[in-house]
Amino acid sequence: MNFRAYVGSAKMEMKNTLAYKANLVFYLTYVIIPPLAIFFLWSFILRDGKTIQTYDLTSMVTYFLITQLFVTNTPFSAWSEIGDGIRNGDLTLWLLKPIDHYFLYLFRLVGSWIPLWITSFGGVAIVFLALRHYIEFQSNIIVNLVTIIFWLGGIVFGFTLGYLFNLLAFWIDRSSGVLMLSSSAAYFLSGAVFPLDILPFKEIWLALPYKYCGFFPAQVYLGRVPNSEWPIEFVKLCSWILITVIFTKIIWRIGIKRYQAAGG
Amino acid sequence: MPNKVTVSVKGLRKEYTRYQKRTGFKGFFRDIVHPQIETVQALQEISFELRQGEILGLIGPNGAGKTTTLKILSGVLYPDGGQVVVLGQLPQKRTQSFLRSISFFTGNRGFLQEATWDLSVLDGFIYVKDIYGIPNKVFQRKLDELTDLLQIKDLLRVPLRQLSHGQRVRAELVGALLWDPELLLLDEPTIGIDIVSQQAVWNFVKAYVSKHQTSTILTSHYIRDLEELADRLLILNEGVIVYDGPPSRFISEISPFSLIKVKFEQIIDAGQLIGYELIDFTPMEAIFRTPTTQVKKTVKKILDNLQITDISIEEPDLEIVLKEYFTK
Repeated sequence: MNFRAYVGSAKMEMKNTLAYKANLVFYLTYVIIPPLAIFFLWSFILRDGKTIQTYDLTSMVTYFLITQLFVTNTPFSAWSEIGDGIRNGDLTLWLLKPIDHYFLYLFRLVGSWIPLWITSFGGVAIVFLALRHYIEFQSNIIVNLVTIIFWLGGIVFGFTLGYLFNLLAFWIDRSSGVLMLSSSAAYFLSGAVFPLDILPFKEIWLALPYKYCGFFPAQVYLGRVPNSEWPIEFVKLCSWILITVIFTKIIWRIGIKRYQAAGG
Repeated sequence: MPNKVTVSVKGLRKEYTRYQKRTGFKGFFRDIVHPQIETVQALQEISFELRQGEILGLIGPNGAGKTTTLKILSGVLYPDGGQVVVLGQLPQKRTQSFLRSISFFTGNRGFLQEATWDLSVLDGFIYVKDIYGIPNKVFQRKLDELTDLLQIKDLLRVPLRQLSHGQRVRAELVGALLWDPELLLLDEPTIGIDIVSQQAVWNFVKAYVSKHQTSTILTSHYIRDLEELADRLLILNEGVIVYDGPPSRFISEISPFSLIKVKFEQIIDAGQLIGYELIDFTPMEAIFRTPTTQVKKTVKKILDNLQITDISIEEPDLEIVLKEYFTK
């Protein structure tokens, strides 16, 4: 594997993101405003010391701030650019390069987001400062580190799933509807709308891998996952990633034979 | 000793399926229940070879199968039949070593445009360097050589999106050659660019191929360029090779007619030229077309009937021959 090519792809996308610096400022508002809206919603629902199952206002606000931050940065639809490229023939330009398409897009995606993540830190700091009385701060460095590891694993899983759905473009002229449906489902199943453990049939939702994209890292951060469970959950996450990557490769191999390379 | 075979194509077939969409609201629902799918034969058992250092010009009308051929040779499309071997490999396997040995450049859309549109030209080249793992020293040497030849040295720090189309094509061409490919596939490289840039591109291709002995296949709508540049012409029509040989032989084989150019002593009316097959006419000049076997007879007729100051007989140029051929 030519690692330099992938690092180069990430660097190239970083430069692309940085080419429009004003976008970073706009992104800051995206990081600040939705969390504040969520806070106002839950502070109304859980006013006067009310709780929903094990969540009081502080744990709920913390949960949502973390999941929103993670889920917002998880590419459930990957880039619709991947499906568009298959449909309109732009894929040709990448097929001609000695580089694996899946890893190329994974690195490009991470590269494009690194400047946004760095920008996010500023926004997150403002939100955390403003809501400091309603947030459970995690002081254990190991727990913070494990949270980040699971979040990154969730990103890879979310990306792979999105990539897989994009490959439908080899068979379907317009796959954007399927992509929208799958990313909406993923958004809900990741725990971005409600904590999965307060939903009915929670055993089902918690058995699905989507939880690693939001719910699970937030639970780790809140200290609700015992340390002893971390390794087994990590193995499960890695297995899900491996299975989806293998499936992606199989679909790619079949799909690429159908590719029509539209356009001149 | 003949050069080694770089590309070997035997009985290559490729077909496409495409939807035939019905119109209107009713048609929309009928398309869902009973879609109409048409199969198009893009290539029908074509065979040819390309040797190292050779320039092969691919010509044909739109839809003849030129670009499809290049896409199969580059491994982008899977062939439906026949055998294609490029640089000793099956292109559709798309191995790393194969992809590092070829370059497919298309004037319609370039890699830099796709990947580094907002970045400087140099950033785009650096990305290409990273993809192909080109050592820094080699990269610098190649960059100097290519940017010099294509005269874009002063554009390296300009964002790609701010270049003119002609400048962008030249930049893309540099980006397509940085890793010294053994096989160069050029698909309409000069499409949409001005005559000066076109000439610069062709001069560059000629100089580059002759220096590096790169096997090259190129398509162009500018037939005169191919006539000048290509060692061999391969003419495709509806997925079938109709000619494979030197450009000069095509004219004599396919075109059994000659052109007679005359200058008149005084302004004449087109009505006076009834009975001649006119190709071009101005009140003082005309070009007639006549079967090669009838040249003497036609010249005599002209001399007998028209007041002229000059007459010359020429072979028709390739553009006219092709137009005639494909119209038939």
